Amino acid sequence: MGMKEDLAAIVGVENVSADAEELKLYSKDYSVSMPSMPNYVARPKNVEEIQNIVKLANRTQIPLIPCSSSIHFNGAALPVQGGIMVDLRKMNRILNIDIRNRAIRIEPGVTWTQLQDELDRHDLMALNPLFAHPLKSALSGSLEREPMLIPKFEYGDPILNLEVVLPNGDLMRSGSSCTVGFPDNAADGVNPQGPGIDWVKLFQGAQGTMGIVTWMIVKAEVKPKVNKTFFMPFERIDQAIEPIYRIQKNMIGSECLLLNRVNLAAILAEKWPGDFSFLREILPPWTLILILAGGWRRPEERIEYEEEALNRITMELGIPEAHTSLKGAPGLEKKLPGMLRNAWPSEKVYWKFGYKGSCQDIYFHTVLSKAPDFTEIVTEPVAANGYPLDEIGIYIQPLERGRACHFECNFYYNPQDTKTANRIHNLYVEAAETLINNGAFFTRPYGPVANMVYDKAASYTAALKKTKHWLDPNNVMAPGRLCF
Amino acid sequence: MSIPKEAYEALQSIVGPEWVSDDPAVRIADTKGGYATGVVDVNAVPPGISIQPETGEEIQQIIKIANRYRLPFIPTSTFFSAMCAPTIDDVIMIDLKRMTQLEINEKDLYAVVGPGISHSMLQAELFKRGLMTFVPTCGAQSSVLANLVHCGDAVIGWRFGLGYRRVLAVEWVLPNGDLLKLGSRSYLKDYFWGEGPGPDLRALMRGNEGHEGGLGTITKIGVKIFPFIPEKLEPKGVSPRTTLKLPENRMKWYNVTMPTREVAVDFMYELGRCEIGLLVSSIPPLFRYVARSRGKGAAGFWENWKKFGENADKNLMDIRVLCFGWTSEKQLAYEEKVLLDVVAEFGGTASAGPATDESNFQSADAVCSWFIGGRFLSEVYFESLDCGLHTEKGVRELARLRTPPLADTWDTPMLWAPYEFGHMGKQESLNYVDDKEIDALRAHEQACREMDLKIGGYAIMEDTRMFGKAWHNYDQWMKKLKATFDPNNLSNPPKPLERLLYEE
Repeated sequence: MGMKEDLAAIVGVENVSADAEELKLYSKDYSVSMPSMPNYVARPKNVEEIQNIVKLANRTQIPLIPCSSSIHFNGAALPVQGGIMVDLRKMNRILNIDIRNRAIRIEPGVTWTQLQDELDRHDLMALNPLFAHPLKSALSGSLEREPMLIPKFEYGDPILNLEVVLPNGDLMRSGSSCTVGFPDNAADGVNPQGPGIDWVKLFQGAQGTMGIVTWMIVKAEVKPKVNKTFFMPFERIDQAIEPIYRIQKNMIGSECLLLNRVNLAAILAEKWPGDFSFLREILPPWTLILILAGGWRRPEERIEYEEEALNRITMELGIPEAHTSLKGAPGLEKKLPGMLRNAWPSEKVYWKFGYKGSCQDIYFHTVLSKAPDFTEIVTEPVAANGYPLDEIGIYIQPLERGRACHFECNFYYNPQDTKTANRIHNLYVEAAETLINNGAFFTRPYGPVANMVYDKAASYTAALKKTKHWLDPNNVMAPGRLCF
Repeated sequence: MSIPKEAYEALQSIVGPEWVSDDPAVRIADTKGGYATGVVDVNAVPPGISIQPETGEEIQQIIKIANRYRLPFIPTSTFFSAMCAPTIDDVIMIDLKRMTQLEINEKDLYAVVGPGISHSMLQAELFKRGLMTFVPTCGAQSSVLANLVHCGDAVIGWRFGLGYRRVLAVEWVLPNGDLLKLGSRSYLKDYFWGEGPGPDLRALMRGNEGHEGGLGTITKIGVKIFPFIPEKLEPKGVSPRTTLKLPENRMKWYNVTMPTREVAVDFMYELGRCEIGLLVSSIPPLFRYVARSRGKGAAGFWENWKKFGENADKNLMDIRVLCFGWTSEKQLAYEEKVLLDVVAEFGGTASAGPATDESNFQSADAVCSWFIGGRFLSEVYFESLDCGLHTEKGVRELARLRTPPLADTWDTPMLWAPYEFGHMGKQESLNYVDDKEIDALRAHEQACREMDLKIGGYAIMEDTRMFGKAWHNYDQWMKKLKATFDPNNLSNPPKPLERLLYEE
């Protein structure tokens, strides 16, 4: 039998394809990564089928590339060495909602929208990133360590446990979900420690190179019933940094993020391009958004003491009091908490696509105090590549009470314009290089950035390769990615 | 001594002769001691030599010498725990006490510590700066680094999560002597972040517990620290019997009593939804009596414990909650109101506790549990609070079958320490025996593990031989991992594969 027939024997003929048009859908994504074609796509429906596909790959040395979403960014699901796309979208069940432990078990195909809608019915919310694409898998977003909007939970990691098909086809479950009989035993699968090692951490940030995650238990939190939104406008980014530090150290607030006017306009625009142009004109250069969320009990009283603390902070810093509305966006203060706790609405053009059709992101971690420097540093490669400085989107997400931040630059471009797309590719590479050389920590290095990072991190790279060989001696899982 | 003379001299040249010793007194001192003495170190033998490096580079060189001469080595920091006691001959004991590097980044809320820094030392420095860490319940004298990498259990997990997740960037000398740098330290000089780049290799540092030196020696870590209030915690009393006076405008203990374990668990879940409190933990009567008997001797304890047991209401469960006004005095008032609302709703009672603390901020000392004599072993489970009801009941019923010789706990509730606002929790049961009855303790331990296999209990003290196959053959993966990183099998063999407790 040929490979296609072998795959058909595993997942059924209707769930295998080698059709060029179909494969083409997997060959590129919303990034400047080079397109690459897979040889096949297989759509397994359960874990046993995945195990059999992995065993087949080990027998034949063909690469496997897992993907869970209908949309991809960063080149993270591209088959850079060809192979079989293992499309997990048919596995899209929410397997369990554990209200007492605020934990939810999801399959890879569950989107952020699906997850939030379900949690909403139970007065819970997911710990989601900023306006995830509605078709994006919640499982892969969590695996990719997309930053959550709420820095108040020191235990920043939303993943509790997971089940994974290892690169040799064996099954592993992390933490207490490994117990005999789970989920039909005394354990609820909420302890991520062990067995033996911290399996959860090994698969995060791995871009599918360490195995195929078949379900995951993620934390949910109580959805606040009462909220109060504050906006703090700043002329310069450095003016926003100390207020963020103070807010976080005073342990107040729920969602807290800093956006420049380009990104905020892209998020708020209803009609393109009119709204976007108007908002870009009138919005302040930087806006700090802070949601004070009422507690499960006595919600107004919590907001009251937090608001007093916020006022005290602004007074101590000698800056104007935070506003409860945003000029140019009437009523936003009421809508924003709900917006932030959901994926981007599916009926609207995705906020990163509205301006020019696509967007190349570049992001890294740093400490908040260095964010102004990086805002400056990035302008050099931007200018060198002819990208307008006033079209850079910037998003800064404080993490873990301000211990660090996610720093994200967004470069909007027209993907149909090949010349521009090439220029953005160059910009991406040069900006990454400049940022790395100036101390940006790329926790999630994609594509060409991975090479730059691993070239610098010699001891880490060597240990990572050993670890990969320990799990995947045939290098069948997503070869060509990271340093593998 | 069968350590080659050449190896000994090479080690002397690395750290200086004054920091290497094969003196029997030093070797014996490095054989036993610390937490769980007499239980996990019963097969301990003296190390061949003891060496005290000062830097990570020295450790690299020591380990390379160890590999050259095929000498096993074990790292130890404060020797607070007996878990790293050597069990084979001619071990190089790498004593890390001299590695007391400490840097505090106040702005970005992390500290960089060497293995010689204890929780008490770090906390003292942080309090000076209006910051805080926690101290583990086992004892504040333990090394921050070793404790977090090995266990990191502390009731502050209620708000700040699992201890080992507080570890940020890491420097780690692998079993072959190579230096591995994790997180932001992988290519920067900073320690502010632990993940990546890409997969997070902190994953290999530990599972349910640390590898206890089985995968090399961790020499420096960044560790999260936390904001504190402007008010100071003032010590009272004469050292070492001191307590900290808490500022009553910002911190207030409540002692809550719930009618049953089940209601108490419901209550803790509800507190989690409310996101209040700095610390929440049940207080088993047994723990309370141990603490109250300090300075009165073992006889005093047993006499009081017997009296208590004769009249004990075995259903009542006590929970301590520390309300905290981080933001302001008004926050404290808010937390108190919410707490009292919940207590009333769940049919409990609450009373304000004394405005002092002896065991959570500066000077925890569960080692004092030994003073009442005999040996004890904790059955520690991490899972949901609900799961804790199953494991506590199971352990209690099994203990009853062996009481005596196990000391009677009067079927009173054991410990629940919820973590991450109730997402998970620790449930711990203590069992004491007389020194001569340690076999009964082991038999009880074995019975608990067999129960775990049946009901889905997830105990910290996993035994790869019992659970490996049952838990997706993870033991086989661990064996391969050990062989990958420690091909000469010198880094505290057979760790991390087996527990001393089960070795004959």
